[in-house]
Amino acid sequence: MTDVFIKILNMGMTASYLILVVIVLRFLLYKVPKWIRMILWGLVGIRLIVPISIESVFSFLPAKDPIGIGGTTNTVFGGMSGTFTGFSGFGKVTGAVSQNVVDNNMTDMVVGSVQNGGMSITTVLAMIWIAGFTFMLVYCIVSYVKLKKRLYDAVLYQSGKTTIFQSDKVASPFVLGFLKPHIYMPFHLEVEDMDYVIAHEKAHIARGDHWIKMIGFVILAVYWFHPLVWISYLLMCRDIEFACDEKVIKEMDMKSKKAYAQTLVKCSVPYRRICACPLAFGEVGVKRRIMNVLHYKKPAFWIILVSLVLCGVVAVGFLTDPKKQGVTEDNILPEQSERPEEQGKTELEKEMQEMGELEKAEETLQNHTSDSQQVKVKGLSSPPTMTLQDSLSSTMNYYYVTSGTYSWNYRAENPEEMRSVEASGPFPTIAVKGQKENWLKLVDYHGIDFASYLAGFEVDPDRISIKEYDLLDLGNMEPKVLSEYTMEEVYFLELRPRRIYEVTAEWDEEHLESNGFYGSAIYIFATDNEESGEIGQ
Amino acid sequence: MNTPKVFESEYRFCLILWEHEPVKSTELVKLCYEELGWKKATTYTVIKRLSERGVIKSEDAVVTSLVSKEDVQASEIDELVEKTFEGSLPAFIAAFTKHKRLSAEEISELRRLIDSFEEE
Repeated sequence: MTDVFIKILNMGMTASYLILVVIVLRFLLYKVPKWIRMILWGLVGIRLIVPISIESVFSFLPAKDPIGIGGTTNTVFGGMSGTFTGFSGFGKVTGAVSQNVVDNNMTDMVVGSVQNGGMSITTVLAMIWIAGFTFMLVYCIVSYVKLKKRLYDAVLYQSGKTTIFQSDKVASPFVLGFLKPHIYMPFHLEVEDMDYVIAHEKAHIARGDHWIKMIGFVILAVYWFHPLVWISYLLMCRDIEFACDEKVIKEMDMKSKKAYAQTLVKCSVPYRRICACPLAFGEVGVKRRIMNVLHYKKPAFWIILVSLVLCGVVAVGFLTDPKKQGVTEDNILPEQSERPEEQGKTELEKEMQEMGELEKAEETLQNHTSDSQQVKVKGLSSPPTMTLQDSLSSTMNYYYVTSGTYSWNYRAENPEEMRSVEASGPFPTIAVKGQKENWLKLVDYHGIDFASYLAGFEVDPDRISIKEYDLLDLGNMEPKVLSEYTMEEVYFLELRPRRIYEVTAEWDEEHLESNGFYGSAIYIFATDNEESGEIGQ
Repeated sequence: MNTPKVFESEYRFCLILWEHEPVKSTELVKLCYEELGWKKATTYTVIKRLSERGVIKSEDAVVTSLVSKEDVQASEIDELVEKTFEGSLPAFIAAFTKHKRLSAEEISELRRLIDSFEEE
């Protein structure tokens, strides 16, 4: 549930940009036929519903900045920052490693927080969200049922393709029902009013507005906390009425239009209802509707064309996500998949295929270590590369460390047998010697004396232990251990500049079945300030 | 007189009843379906509600009315004049004739009504 909640938050934030743009466009394009606006709202709906995003260079969305807060709350929100940057990379393959870092973090983060005793803030928020969502749905269902009950003695006025009822409980005509929508009218309407009202409500049904409103309401229920989504829903309801009016008066002469406008006035009702169900005739922005009706002009073809193109641009620009930023210097990125520039219109299939490939890449070993294996293996034949990612940075810079010292056992496939590999690298304070260019340059964040980095592996170890040495001990075979700690499941490393870190990762034998390997590996790296300090070689 | 309030939908029902009473409830159900589009349950609910209010009565599955059409109409007018015209019947008539032309027949009928009223 909390995962879903975080996902919703993500999508809501991304959608905010699109909503703002749509609101502005809607205002600018007031001369354009109103049904164009429905397309724009449709785009907003898609952005809010569909969790998968496609990357493209044409995305207008800014590269996301995560919510980074230093200190202990880092554990909760740091995870969310992981999801922020992560989602733009969701569909892209730059090596199996990165995908896993992000994916695991999302769930790991939450599990980790719960383990730290008590409920994490995120879980509490998620529960509040569910409560709000349930309340909205219940409110709507209850209103719907109550309304239906009130209309029990409605009198049949006209049966036919659409059944029309009259009731003394109806103040303003509306449509009720989904599979078999019925029109409900008050009793004493003048004949000509009745004609227009019926035409208007029938147009609603023909356009499927009762479905649109319901879907819109469900989305609103999910995003009940999001003010922009509320604004979108209300504006969309107005646009639905405008578009419906347009459909009715399109072919009318001025005389009829005036009569229609009069009917609007007569049937307007002072109160508003937010419930998704009835499409009432007189509620929504009557003044504006009358103006629209009286000033309606058939749109020129090119206006429609330009508007559609504009919608397309908005769709590509906001339904796609920005590409990930480049990777940092160090340890060469194993497989930078050279993909051709993705158009925003990449089909969902291609997306799915990418993800399928990704999963396969995890199972069968890809070359992301320096070993090249001829033999097909089931598990990793050597320890995975460790990636370090600055959790406070908005760019997707990864720092890669391979293991030089390890004890590894894996299951090979052809032939099926267990194999063992061992490697013995130099001592930590020796290993980093002479590689100053490859040291991890830490950014100095004001107010925080350590940098928080997220450690990721293609397959998560069962635990990692970190030993910290001072860079001044370079070359010293018996350095003083400044700090030492072990962690399971949540791999936030607190890194300080001018240090040497020795990270030991262990994959337990009890997971041999699922992982296809077990063993332990040591990763060694050094840290430095961003402006290179002078430390002796 | 204290004629109970009859709502519009119920009024339509009463119109049927006044035309056909006394009528078996099953027959009434059929009539209501044909003319009002009501399901059986709806008709029975309405019968029950109107009985409770004293507008109609249902005995041995036969339904009869307790108030006449004229009673109900008069009561409606009363309420209308009271609410909208602050109790002034002339104001109501004036408003009524503002929008509607009275035919010669209607005028003479009105005259007769006023005369008979004066005599009381």
